[in-house]
Amino acid sequence: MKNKNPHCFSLFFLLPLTFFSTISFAASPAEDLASLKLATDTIWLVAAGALVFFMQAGFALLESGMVRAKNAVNVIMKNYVDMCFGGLVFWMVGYGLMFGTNPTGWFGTDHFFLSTGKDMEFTWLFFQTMFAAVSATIVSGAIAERSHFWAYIFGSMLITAFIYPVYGSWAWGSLYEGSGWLKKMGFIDFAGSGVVHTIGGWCALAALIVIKPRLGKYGRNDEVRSIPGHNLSSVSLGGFILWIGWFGFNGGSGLIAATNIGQIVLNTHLGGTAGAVGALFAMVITRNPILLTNTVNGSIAGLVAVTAGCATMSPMFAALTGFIAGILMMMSSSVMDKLRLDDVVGAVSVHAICGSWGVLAAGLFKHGDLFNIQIITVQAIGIMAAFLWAFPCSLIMYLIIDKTIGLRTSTSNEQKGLDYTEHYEIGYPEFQQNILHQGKE
Amino acid sequence: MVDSTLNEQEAAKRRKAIHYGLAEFLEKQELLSALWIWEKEFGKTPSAFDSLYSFTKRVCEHFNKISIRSDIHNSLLNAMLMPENELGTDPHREMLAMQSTSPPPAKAIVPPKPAAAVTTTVSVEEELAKNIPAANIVFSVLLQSILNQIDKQRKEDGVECRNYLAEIILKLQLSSIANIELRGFILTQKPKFLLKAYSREQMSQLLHTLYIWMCQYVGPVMSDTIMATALRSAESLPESSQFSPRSLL
Repeated sequence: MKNKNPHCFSLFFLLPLTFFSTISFAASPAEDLASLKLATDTIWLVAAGALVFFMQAGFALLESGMVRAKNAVNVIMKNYVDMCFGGLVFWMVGYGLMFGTNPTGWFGTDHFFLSTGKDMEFTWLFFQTMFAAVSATIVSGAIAERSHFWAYIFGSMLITAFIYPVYGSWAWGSLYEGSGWLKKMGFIDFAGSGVVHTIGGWCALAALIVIKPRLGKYGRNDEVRSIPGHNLSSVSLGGFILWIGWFGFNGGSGLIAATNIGQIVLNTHLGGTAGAVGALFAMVITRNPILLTNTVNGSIAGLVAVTAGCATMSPMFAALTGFIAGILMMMSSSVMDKLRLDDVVGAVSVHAICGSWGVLAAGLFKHGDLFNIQIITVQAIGIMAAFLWAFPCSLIMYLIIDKTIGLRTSTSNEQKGLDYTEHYEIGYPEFQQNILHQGKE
Repeated sequence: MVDSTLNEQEAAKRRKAIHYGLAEFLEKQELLSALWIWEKEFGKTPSAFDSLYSFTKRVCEHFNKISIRSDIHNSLLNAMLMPENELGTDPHREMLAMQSTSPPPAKAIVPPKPAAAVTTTVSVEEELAKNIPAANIVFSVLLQSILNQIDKQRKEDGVECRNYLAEIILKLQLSSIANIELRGFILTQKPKFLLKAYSREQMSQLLHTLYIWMCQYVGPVMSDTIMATALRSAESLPESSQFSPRSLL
């Protein structure tokens, strides 16, 4: 999480601001420099946070494009609303659990409802809130087209408030006093392949097990049926937006404006490109059709994987990490279908499997310390810890939600489409051919 | 209401004129049969004169009166132009009496050409449809359209689907008569429209069960397409303005 090479940017556009503040306070040159650095860090983190926020739009477009037209509004709503509730609960509980003073190494104990503090604390909170929202929203795509809206939102709130921050405190805590147990061991997860993506991915897997496949996804003769999304332009646009957002996601994760951001975002980009190439390679050698959806997912898989080690590996290994992630994504998608786990957008493959690979790759390809068995062992412990924490917790949570609120909608609602049954709105009233309802009588 | 009364008066006048015009050429039973043909196929056209040519041709071919066709046509034309009070009584009662004591005239008269047969069938069904609730017509068309589309996909699937639905019907808590009718409708596709009373919930439940079956057997994408096509068929019916097919899906 912390940057190893914290040289300040020479951002000339900031100089006039600093100049006036210098005059006002008549501070010493050292104070001026510290002030300039703080301002620069703040600006960069806020901008990076905004880019991470923009990823929500990417997820919304990607996921809504991958579902049938009758469920498009529902998916967008889930992405929109989980971010809203997630933002509130992370401010109330999550931030304190994740980054508060951590005397035991297992969870933070203060800074809940953060209302007073240093300027930078608010910046951190803002930036980390965006991360929490990303983790929670991963589930929505996996269980799209058959999940009850409020059951999903309730689950995403618990992930943001509890499951995500607790693991985060092990790997990244604390920003104040104390340290997470994984962090103490030297666990490398620079921007969250493990903390953000595998946690979201394992929660998605638990939700998939509880919710069961969509009607007719798997036929009576064990055939796997393709249920194509309604808007592939939206899928590709979502992929582009996620990619842009990732520059802020990884670039901002040092929490300061440093000169190594260039390499971090370069590695990020190489990971994404190699991920798409890896997925294409897998499609070609397995003689599968060259699908846009798989190509976009391949690039996202590469971005997920490179996230852990983008600050600690060379560009060559960043590309290799992404390439392998693209292939892994294709392989695990096929395994998911064999296991009859109907993951609409491939969230488990992309986030859980490739996130875990990314954490391992960060240990394998650590710059200047390649294939160090001690580092690899710590990384493996981190991967196992993520699974053993997030999967059982979320499985219990979703089972309880299913028994109480009801995670899955009725088959009748699935027939009508969740846009109509959950929201009484339809995304494409003018030309939607397959939609059966345009409003209640 | 005013228009309806006028139309009924006009229809009665035309009926009297046809009866008067044909009386000297046909036996009583033939005459009444010919009147039924007029009623069902030609009587509701805006201009009675325009229909006379086709009607005369039809009657002459059927009753072997080709040689006196022009006489019959002239007689009918003259009758149409006569004042109503000179045409005698309305033969409607005799027509109804004939319908109740003998097979329906429209069926008794074997249509001479396939095209005419189609016209007759449609006409009878239109007549029948007047008394069937709009919900039944809409539901019948939806169900029939879906089943026909499944048949087109794979004939074996269609048979399996019909058998499955026939079993499911037992769970719908229908009256025994409705149960028999619905089972017959699904298995044999007859009659064209269901006549018994079915609640909206029962109709929705059956269509939803059918949707689930389709998802399992032909896949969810094809199921949505089939449902959408059936919906378009049902929405093209005039009855859909009284009873929306969307309320069943």
